Amino acid sequence: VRHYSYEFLARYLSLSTDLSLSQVLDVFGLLTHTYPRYIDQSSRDAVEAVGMELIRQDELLETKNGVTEQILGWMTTEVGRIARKGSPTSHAAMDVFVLLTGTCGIYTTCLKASSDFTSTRSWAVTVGLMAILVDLLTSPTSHVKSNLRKTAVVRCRSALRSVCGQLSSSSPLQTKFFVRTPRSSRL
Amino acid sequence: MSGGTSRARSVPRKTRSGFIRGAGDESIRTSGVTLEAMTSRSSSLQRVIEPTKVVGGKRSCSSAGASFEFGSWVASPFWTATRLCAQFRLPHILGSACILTRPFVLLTPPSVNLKKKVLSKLQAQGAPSGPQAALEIESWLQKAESNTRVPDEMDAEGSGSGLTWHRGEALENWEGALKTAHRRLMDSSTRLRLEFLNEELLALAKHGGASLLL
Repeated sequence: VRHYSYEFLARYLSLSTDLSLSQVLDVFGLLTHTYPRYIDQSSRDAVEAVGMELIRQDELLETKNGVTEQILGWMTTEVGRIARKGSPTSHAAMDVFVLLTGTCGIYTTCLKASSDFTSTRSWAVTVGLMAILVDLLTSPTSHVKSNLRKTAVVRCRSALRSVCGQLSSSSPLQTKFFVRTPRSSRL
Repeated sequence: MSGGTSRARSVPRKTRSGFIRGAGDESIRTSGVTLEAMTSRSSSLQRVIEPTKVVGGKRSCSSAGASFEFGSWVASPFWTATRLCAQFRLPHILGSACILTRPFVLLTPPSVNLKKKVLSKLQAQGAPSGPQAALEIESWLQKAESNTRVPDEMDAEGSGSGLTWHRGEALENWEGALKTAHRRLMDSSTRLRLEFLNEELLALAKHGGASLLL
């Protein structure tokens, strides 16, 4: 038993190093193929959980690998591709919603993992992505079902409220988001 | 066309009293166009008339003669009966009953002329046709089939030779592990996919290489 424990510990220590950036991105690359594909909510939740765990592990490291930046870069490209079409109806609304869900997850995960997230560039990118995606889904010109619009607003609102404690009260984006929006479409 | 004056009134309307208007008396009076002349001009009229037994003759029955003015769908028994109802002031229920016969007339296959017309239009637009299009469609189908085909070796639990996820060998053979994971995510059932996501990939994301020994 002792020999087995020693061997196990040796192997554990040798492999206990976290995945490299390329390996993490390989795993994330697997997940990116799934977002327009899965139609069941449980699969989407599981995919989101894996993706958020990849980000959380990287955010907890002292020397970050930059997983969040890479994932945000992919999200920016994807959202830009959708928004550049000019019409949100050229893409499935559910794809936009899945991207919004992922962005909200990144927002929550990063703020919970590190309180300095608001001072990074990723913070502005994340909030900008959320704004674009909410605009795409709630635009009056888009033919999105009302239930999906409501769900998007609820998801975004819950993400913003879940980490209110980590935000300083003078955060300009948060203040703008809550105060300057009209009452009918307040998130 | 001598009956051209009735063109503007060629759309029939149902009135409150239940009679059909539109095939006016003028069209009846001016319907000097023969059946042969009409059918030679309109292929769609041929399509409708051929399977439909027209009541009356070419010129002997004025209602049938007037019905030719409307184009393709008036030669059906529905409009013939409707014209008779309108002319003899019969209750419109007789005409309504003929609605049941109308779908059978409209469901006739398109004529060869129509197909040729559509084909020539597509060719003018640059769409592939002939054997080239057939080859393209066949290659596309093969590609789509290869992308969506579930491997034969996959058993009920997804532990076939091509889909087995070896925890201890994932880091050593990372490329193979990625291929396996891709196939598990894309091809397996929802239950197996959820299990793989929650047990394997989530553990890998949480614990890194250490999870592969657990």
